[in-house]
Amino acid sequence: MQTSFRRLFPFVLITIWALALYWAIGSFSSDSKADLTFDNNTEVATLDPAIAEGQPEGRVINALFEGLLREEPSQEPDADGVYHLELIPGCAELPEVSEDQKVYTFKIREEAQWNNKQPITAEDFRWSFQRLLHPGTGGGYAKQLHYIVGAKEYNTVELEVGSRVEVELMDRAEDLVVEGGPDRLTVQGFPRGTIKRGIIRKIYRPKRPEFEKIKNKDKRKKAENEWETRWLYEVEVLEYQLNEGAVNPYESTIDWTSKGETFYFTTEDIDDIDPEFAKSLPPEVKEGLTRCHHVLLDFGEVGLKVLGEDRRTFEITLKNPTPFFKTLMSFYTMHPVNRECVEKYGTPVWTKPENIVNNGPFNLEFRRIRDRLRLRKNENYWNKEKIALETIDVLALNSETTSYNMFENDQIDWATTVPSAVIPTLRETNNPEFRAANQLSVYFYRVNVAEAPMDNKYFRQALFLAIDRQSICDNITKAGQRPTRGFLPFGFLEIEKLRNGAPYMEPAAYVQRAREAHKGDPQAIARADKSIKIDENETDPVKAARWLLALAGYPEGKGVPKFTLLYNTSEGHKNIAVKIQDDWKQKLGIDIELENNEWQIFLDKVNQKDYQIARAGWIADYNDPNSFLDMLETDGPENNTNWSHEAYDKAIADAQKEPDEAKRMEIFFEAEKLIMDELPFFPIYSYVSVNLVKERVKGVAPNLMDKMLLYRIRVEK
Amino acid sequence: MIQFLVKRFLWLIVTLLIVYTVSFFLMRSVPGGPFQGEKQLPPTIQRNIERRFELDKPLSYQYFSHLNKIVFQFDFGPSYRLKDYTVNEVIASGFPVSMSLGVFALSFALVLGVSAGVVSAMYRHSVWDVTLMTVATLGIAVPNFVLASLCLIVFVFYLGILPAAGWSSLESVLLPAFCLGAPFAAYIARLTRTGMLEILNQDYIRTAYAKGLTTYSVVTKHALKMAIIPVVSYLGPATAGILTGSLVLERIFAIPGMGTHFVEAALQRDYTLAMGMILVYTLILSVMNTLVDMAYAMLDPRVKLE
Repeated sequence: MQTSFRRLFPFVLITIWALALYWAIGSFSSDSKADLTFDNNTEVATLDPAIAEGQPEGRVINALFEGLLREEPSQEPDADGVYHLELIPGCAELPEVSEDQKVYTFKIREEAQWNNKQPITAEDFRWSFQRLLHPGTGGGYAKQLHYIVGAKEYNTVELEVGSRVEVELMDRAEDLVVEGGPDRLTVQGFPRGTIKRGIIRKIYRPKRPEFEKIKNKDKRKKAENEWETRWLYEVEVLEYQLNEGAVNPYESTIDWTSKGETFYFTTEDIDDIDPEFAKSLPPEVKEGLTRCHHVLLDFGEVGLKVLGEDRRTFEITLKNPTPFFKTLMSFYTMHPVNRECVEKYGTPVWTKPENIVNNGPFNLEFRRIRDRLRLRKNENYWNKEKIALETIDVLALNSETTSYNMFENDQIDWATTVPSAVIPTLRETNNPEFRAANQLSVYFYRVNVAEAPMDNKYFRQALFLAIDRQSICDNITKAGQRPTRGFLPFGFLEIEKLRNGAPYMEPAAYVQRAREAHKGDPQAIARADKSIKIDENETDPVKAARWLLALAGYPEGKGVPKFTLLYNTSEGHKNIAVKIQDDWKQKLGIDIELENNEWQIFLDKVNQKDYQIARAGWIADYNDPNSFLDMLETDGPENNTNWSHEAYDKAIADAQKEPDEAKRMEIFFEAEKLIMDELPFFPIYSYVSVNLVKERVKGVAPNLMDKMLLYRIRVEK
Repeated sequence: MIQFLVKRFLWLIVTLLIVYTVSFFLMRSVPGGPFQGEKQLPPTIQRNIERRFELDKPLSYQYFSHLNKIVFQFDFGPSYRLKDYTVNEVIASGFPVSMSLGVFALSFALVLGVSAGVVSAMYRHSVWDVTLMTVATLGIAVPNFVLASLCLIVFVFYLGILPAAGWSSLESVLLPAFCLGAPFAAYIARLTRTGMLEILNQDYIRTAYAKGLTTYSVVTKHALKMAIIPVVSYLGPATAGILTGSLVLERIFAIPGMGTHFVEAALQRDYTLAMGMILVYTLILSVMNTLVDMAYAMLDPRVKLE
């Protein structure tokens, strides 16, 4: 037996090989070339607008879905050759805004429809917004709707006695099927169980742990949240009657003053309740306890209303006049999703090409993981006459070099990243395919102001002034970046106007402000003056930096405790960090250490505030200074510097309430000045977006937000 | 034989379990989690996401729950980063790609390697021999990403006959398969040459020549058959090496295979996807080794399976 097999073995091997080769050759599908092929840099994490975050996702979602409004580049580019984005009607006409700028009324256009030809109504938007805001969905950008009345409370579960609430009972299909509770990985975040509505009459709280003892702010917040989820609610549940033809419990008649039955709800597993806490509960609570999925603010309390016979009027009520709110309505997170589709297949299965129902200019034809996805013109799109491209291939190449190779080899029409090594050549040769445009984005360093020596503002000023930012742009980044004129990047025209003639960032201005602040302390001034002689109109930032350093108590840089500059591993960040290290050493006599960490570790350190100075970058989510400035609010989620300033917090809050645009910009400008004086952030430069686009691609309009407006692109043959 | 297989199978289970355990705890001990980004989520939202993926449970619970799903349902769970897909779907999409790249690479390695080896041995010490063996030595020494860059310059930008990257047509597989197969081709060439030289000195080859056979039939009928045995035994490790060694090349040539998914999963802290990839790789390596051992036993009666 073995002998015969030995003889057969070579043939077996050859047969296997031949079969394998046959299979391998056959495994290539032959796709026709798309009208436009572009590299989207990375595989989109999801096509679900509610949970997507990031530019690559935005490009695809903007092609598949359409929100209330849409963005169009301005007629003419600005002085920098960059187009600003203007709002145009999308699914809805431009809204009517009430006089107090708090009520927006959108009229959904009659032609608007899903790609399965179902009409789109305001109800679709309300449902999509509710899904986005529901805490179970886990939408990272849900906070962009927090400007709406009640939205923040609904999203972050802020409840008190007297709150009108909705309670989702544990009667979803999967709750009832799986023994011992649902398998949580298959659980849909969004309600599908019965909704009860009522009023909170009492909240039973377990003993409050001493959160103050937890040093780490994030851990404290987490623990507090943990504790809040263990609260029990006594709810008076009221009867409600659905309106005719309504699908939402919120379209109903409910008498909030009527009497109802009392229920006790917990979102925790009843067996998991702390025994001590259980002992402290009255017997009727213990016996009547019902487990539920969520206790949330009643969604009827959120400022979203569907009006009109045809249900095409969508009324949004805001807490404050929020001038940039309109812009948000064109952002991809706020695009509508189809309720029937989402509920039928569930998340994330509804996003598969064979299931997805969408309303944008393009449909999803196929999707291959970390390879490409193909978009095809949506024949049911209301404005399909405007769409020039039949097919688009979106690649996920994940490498700048590969992307550049494919572009040069004419395999792709558009590369959204460019290797930094080739940028100077592309610029010098004035290559028409190279599109660099000023972007609303800033490269900066975070400074942890909690620890010495960084807790001293004059020390921070000295460090900042000693950075030769122009040289970084000229010799390192080399794509046309410019040092910022404040914290905000270039592109906010009103801010630019205010900045002209306001020399708050001049070296002399820093010195003068310091002198004024130290009027009562002539010794300190004398010490600084002794260290270095300085003119009243000093223009040399280095001299001013040395003077400030002496004022901070470190003349000639002596006695500065060692500190570390942290950046995430990347050649570009390293070069900048090395240059800054050198600047501080040469000009101030301060030795620092550099440390680089891989991205996730780096993020962890920054979030834990376990750093002294850390590299950062920020891209505007929407075209408004608020997108940058609210970062530094005390305890703002992206503050991470331990910096807190009362006047600053007030300014940001005031700006959000200010209806007058000019005044609002002035407030922002003052806030920015405060940042530049206090320097919890060191702004380095204002980014430029770089793209390589073949000349045959028309309608590109390089814009401030680096948006790819696929619906208006044409390709000349 | 059956005893051997049972034993191997048991060892495989133990290996997988160890690999699972070590990777599980290593992954979680590295700072940074899959749901941490530059933008921070409100704690309520963060908690809901963690709940959904059971990340709020104690580590021991996560360890057993995930293991349980893998063993009894063959379900690696949802990918944490590719939120529209499960790990099973990602593997199902990446594995055939790497397989087909591997098949092409192995074909290159065999055809090029065996031909070069035979030619070298036949014309020993000639210019051909020296050139081919120098190339082979270089081929083993040069890392495949360097070779890839060279090939890109020559075939894509200088000659302009092949695509730079991608996975859309048969042409696009040629360069990566060649670069991936090259070191293996070099090794096979040296194995074949050594084997051939040894065989060509044997008495029965001299007899064959004496019978008046042509060089061609001596080589194909008598010499090559024996000389190729070391190559066959090298096929097992080579296959495993090709399947697992494509990490860098898949990145350079933008090939959506296992390697690309593996690297991305590790960088993005996609715990479940990384775990799935590690286990699949372990499985491939073990199965390949077992097959090779079985092939040895069948080819060579002196080898006993134990």
